[in-house]
Amino acid sequence: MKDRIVVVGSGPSGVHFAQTAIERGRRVLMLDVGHAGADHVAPAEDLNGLKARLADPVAYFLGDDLSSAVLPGNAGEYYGFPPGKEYVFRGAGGEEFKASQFAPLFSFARGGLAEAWTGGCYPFTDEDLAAFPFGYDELAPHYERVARRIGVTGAADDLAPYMPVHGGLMEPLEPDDHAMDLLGAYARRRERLNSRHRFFLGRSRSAVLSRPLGDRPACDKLGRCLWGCPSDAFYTPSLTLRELRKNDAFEYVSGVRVEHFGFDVAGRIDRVHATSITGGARREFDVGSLVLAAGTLCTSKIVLDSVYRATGEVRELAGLSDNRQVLVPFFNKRLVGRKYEPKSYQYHQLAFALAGSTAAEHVHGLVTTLKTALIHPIVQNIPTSLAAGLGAFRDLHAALGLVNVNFSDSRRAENRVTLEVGGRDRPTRLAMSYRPEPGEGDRIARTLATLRGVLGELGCIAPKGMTHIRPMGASVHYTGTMPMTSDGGPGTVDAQGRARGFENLWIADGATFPSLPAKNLTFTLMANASRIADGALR
Amino acid sequence: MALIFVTGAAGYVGRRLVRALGARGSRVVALVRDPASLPADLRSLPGVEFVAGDLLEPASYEKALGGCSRVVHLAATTGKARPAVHERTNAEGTRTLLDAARRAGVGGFLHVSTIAVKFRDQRHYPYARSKVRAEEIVRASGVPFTIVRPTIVVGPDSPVVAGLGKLAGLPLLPVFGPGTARVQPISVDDVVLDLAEIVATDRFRGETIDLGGPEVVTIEELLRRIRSAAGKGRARVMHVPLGPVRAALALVEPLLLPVMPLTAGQLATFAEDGVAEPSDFAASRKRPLVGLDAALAGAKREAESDGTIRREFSVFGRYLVGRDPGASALAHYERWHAAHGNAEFASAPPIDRVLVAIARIHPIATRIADAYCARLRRASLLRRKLVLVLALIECSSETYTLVEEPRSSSRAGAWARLVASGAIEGLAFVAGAIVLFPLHAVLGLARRAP
Repeated sequence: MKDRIVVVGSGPSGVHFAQTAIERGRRVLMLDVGHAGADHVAPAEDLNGLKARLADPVAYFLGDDLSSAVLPGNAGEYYGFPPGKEYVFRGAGGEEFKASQFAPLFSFARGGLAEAWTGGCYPFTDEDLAAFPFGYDELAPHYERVARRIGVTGAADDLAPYMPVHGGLMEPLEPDDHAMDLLGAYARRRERLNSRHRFFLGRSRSAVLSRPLGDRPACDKLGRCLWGCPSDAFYTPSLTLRELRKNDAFEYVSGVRVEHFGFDVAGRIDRVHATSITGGARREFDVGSLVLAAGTLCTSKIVLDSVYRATGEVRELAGLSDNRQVLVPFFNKRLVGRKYEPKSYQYHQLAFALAGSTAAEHVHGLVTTLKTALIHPIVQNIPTSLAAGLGAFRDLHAALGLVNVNFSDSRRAENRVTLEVGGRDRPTRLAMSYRPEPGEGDRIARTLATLRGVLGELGCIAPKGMTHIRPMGASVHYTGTMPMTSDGGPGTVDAQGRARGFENLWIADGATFPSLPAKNLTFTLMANASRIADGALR
Repeated sequence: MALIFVTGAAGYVGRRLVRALGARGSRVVALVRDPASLPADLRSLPGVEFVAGDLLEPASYEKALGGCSRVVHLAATTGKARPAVHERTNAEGTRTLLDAARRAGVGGFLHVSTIAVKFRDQRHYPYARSKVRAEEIVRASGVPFTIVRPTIVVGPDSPVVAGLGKLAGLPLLPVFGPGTARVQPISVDDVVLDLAEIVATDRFRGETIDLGGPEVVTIEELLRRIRSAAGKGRARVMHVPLGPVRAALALVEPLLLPVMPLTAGQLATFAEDGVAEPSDFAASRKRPLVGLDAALAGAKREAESDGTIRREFSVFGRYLVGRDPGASALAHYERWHAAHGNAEFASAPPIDRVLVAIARIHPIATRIADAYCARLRRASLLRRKLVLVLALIECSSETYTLVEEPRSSSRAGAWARLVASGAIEGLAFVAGAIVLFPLHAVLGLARRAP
């Protein structure tokens, strides 16, 4: 990798590959669709300040056409994204797909899907990395490097065996009342919870600043996390992109959708073909080394389409994986009737591990103490009239919490993506099919039973009817279509991310994960992209 | 040029006639009760002057009538009203107007009557009786006159079609009696053209002319056509014996008139033929009449009026947080209805519309209907509207604090409130279930019928 490096995509993988490459003195051209969000309105106001003082708060929170209002009977999974984050999911004309038992999300935003993440930074353990061609020790320096770049808070606590303590961690934010209360309840029953349920609770690892980093201030608790942090205390990859663009060695071309790459006579990739998203003009870019970091699905499509154009062969990429997520709302009996504090950090402040007998059985969860989420999407799920539900909600508001449980996934042959070649009147599409692992339902049911027991011991009630098993695809942790392996054939990459069968193609995103532990993967995406850059440029 | 005095100019036919006359360059003096309530474009029609007045108080319009040589008399009480009111407006009002017209030297009086004056049985139909008297008064007045008797007038927002449309939209098509009575609906545009033609040709020779459309159909067929024009599929017909229904309606009418969907008299349409006699005038028409289906196609689909939306918003707000959520939230609510709500309403199953109609009566009714929906119609139109109101309340500067604080300041108090609201919830559900469950079952079964 000695010549012009072209990186496709500005998500967590793309920007951290580029950053490491720049730090090693290389020049990088990044190609991206790159939808950008609007500037933050009234950046100094806290959440209720927005409601009280904006000229039209309804338009801010629900959208001009109220399209972000969540009404009963609306189709589709509820993500809770406000109008201000609409750009994260805006299409780019190339995301046509066909999916079976899988509901994918795409992003063409600057920073990718992680522009709408919740900041969980959970390093993988050796057990988590069992199927990877390297262990924690090889990733640890990159976890540290990324943590120092983006700012990650966390503590060495009971979670350490499940979430290794790497260098570069900042002290956690002060927990809010509810998190404090739950930690207290956990401390009182710690031994029993650890031994009987193998339940371990601790502080979240979060990409939010507890002290200033560079020109970013510490979190000032405006309570606006869900609507987009106006102070940049909360990290998203577009912040790294912004830093990169200050560097002369970095060139950013946005507004283009990369379709496929082409080869010279010697079989080396020498160019990428892209389409302008405004007007559809074709553009070509010369390539020295090509790094695909467009996200597992788009990266897979670019590879499949390029192979098809070069050889006429429609390939399949097997092993598509995603974390199953289950949402478990609960309320804390001790906090019923309390006032809630809207001026606080809104994403999870606590995390837990439910240890299984094997790594695949481990479950990782995040505990969010709901505060400034919109009320109407929640109240309508209470099985009473809305007035009764709203009354109950007001009394329970400070006591409410949400557990987001992640389940691991493995690469299986039947879960695959392939190309559905288009014709004159229809575009070439990515076709994906996914079937959950047999026995998944039992595994979820067992885990939820344990979790309810744990919540009960913590003095909380989780009404069964409100538990929500999200559809596959909803967690947006897509991985596994071009896995890193020590040896393997076409459709795999080596331990350094170099695609087999190509001379100068690197894959730097989630496609390379040979397995998917029950954890938020974004932090490992960043660390691994940095690791791949390091290795490729060594 | 003749100055034309038009009464009932704010009405369904009246405002169209005024527009048509204005468009032909006629000069019009239009009598209405409240000119301010008219649409601005109507008020600003060139050549048309609106005068505020009351038919029964000649002093209020005598001066305006003074310069007029022709009168088109459309004003009438038509719908739900007590017999005395029909008599006063329709008979005495006509007499008063004719007296004033005579004094003003009017040379032509076009009296708009109704085909119902020909109905044999007018026992329960005070409107028809009063219009018979009005015709007699016109004939005896000595003023040159023409009487026209339109049949069922159809067109966009036509009141008759709206009324029949409520029946026609039901999953089971109720037809009172055998449904064989014949009707000959005419489009409102044709009525207006006929009236304008009579005035323009100064046709005041004491004729009585029936105005009917191009097609004679049975009342049952008309209901089917209205249903199909509203985009609904075929429905099974349910024949309801006419006699008992009329008798029952007549019995409760004095008490329940304001809330009744239709009056005993209006049921006469199901019993009596309402077709137009052939006439010289009809034979002399030089234009083809608008076909029935075309006229019905112009009839707007059922939708909720702006006033209804405003009222329900206030009721729903009081139900949820104890107060009207205010003007800025209302503006969003109205805009949502303009964009989606009306379409949702038109396509909602009958039970869902009924639930909305019940819910908007009063916050207590809202609670009962919502407690019912919470269990049995979770994604119904009412829930969608209520959740939208809640979303607006929590995001509006005037109201967001209402959903912020706990209702009680202590833990014990909060638990007590939770238990109490559970009890209220139970009562509301039981109350709703008693009324709504049978209704739901009937409408649901009817919907599944072929």
